[in-house]
Amino acid sequence: MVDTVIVLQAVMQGLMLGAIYGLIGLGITMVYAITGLLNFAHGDFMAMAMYLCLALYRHFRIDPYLSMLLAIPLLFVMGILVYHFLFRRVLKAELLMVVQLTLGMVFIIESTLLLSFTADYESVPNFLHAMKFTLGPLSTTGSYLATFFVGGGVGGALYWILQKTDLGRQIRAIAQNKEAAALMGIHTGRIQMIVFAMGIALLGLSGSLTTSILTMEPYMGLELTLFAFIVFVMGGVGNFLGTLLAGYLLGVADAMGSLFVGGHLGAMVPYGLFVLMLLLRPQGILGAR
Amino acid sequence: MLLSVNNVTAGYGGVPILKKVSLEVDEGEWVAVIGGNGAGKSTLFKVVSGLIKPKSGAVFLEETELTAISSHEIVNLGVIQVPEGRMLFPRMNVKENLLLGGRNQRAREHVSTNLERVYHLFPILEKRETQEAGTLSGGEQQMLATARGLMAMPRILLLDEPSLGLSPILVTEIFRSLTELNRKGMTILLVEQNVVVSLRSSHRAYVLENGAIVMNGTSRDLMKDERTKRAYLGV
Repeated sequence: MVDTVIVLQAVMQGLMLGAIYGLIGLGITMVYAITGLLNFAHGDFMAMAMYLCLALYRHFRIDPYLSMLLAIPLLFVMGILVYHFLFRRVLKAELLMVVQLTLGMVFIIESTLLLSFTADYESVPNFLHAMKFTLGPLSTTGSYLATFFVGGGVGGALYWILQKTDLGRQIRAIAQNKEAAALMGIHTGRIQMIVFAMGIALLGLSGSLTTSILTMEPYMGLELTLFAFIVFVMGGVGNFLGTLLAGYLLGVADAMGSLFVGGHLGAMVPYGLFVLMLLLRPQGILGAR
Repeated sequence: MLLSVNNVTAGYGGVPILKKVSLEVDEGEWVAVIGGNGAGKSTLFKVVSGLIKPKSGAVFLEETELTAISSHEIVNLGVIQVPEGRMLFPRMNVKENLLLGGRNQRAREHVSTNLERVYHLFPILEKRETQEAGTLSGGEQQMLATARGLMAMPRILLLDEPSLGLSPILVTEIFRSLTELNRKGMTILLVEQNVVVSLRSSHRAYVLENGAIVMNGTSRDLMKDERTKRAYLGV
């Protein structure tokens, strides 16, 4: 029998990773809301950030938490370049063109990672990883706590930006009526580019936070993208708050899967939850109004 | 001239909807473009606001060629459109809609004064401040759309069918507010199917038929003209 403490322990870890799933999903949600595009290479940018941390750690012994300061701006710039030279050109193209383009990017990124780092499983410790924290019978490591607080904090901050600032209003305006947004004097093309780059920069943060928690391998990107899509749909397609909450839900489902089922079958639990959700509540947890 | 439309031919794809349209609006004037459904009125506004580029011809705000710059720059110059069908942001509240209207370069610094002014002009909007725009009644939505346009501090206000879907009482109310604004110096270019109300309130008017200007003159003269009477006034 599995006892209560272990279940609680798993729920806690699920919530902590869930903060990150929410952030990964939020990038997809924001980009979809204002461009109508889905980026299948989304998760691969997170993989790139993690491998950047790995390289900096191997060669210079730099802590991933410090590498973050490079990873975030670097991914932001990559986001700008990818948007400007590739995405922008398929804005009005057929959906399949976008799928082709971004799946092509998946193969390029994954092959490049494979050539540069081999297919070995890797992880990179950070200075908090060895620290144990206990709350009653529950215990966790410093890197899980950092992931939870930084990931959750950034998620909350982004939600606040979307709801309360001029930039957030511009983003929501484009999502609700792009032509009307242009008539308000909003430079819609520029906001679309910034939001795309913000979504990619979030992966710089998420990647650097999780180098000691998630095992990295060159092909991890597509699975992360799949998780992001699940969060995106469960959150109610285009609903920012729903996306962040769905992240936590998926984190817990994932943890329960490994605890109660385990192995490859356990890894299917989040997808099972997703299918169940589509059957019972297709509009997502908060519902797209 | 404040705004000049010179020989504009425009449309979507290959089919021209506007054919060599020219018109002018002077500072402080209220000019109406009247015509039936599908005459090309909304296309004309889309060209002026830079949402579509004309195949030939040009639009000028004084010396600046609007057809050579993009929509957000046109807004920053003070050419403000209140589009057909209101085009509010339905899942944002009244105040957020107004703030978006007032965020262009010219208006940005005066947001609080402008907010006070539009609330004074349309007091109901202040009462509905935190209500989502999509839940307002038709009349309130038109007031919000107009107020959102005024927040932008227009040098010229382009109004596309403000009477659409409103009861006659509300139409009178909206036009009374517009007349007051025009008296205080606001330049207005209006496109309308409601010919009677348009001609009664405007100074000059153009008649647009099948994408071409077929008549123009002072609104008073057009009201008396036999052809307009027969075609649009149902007399």
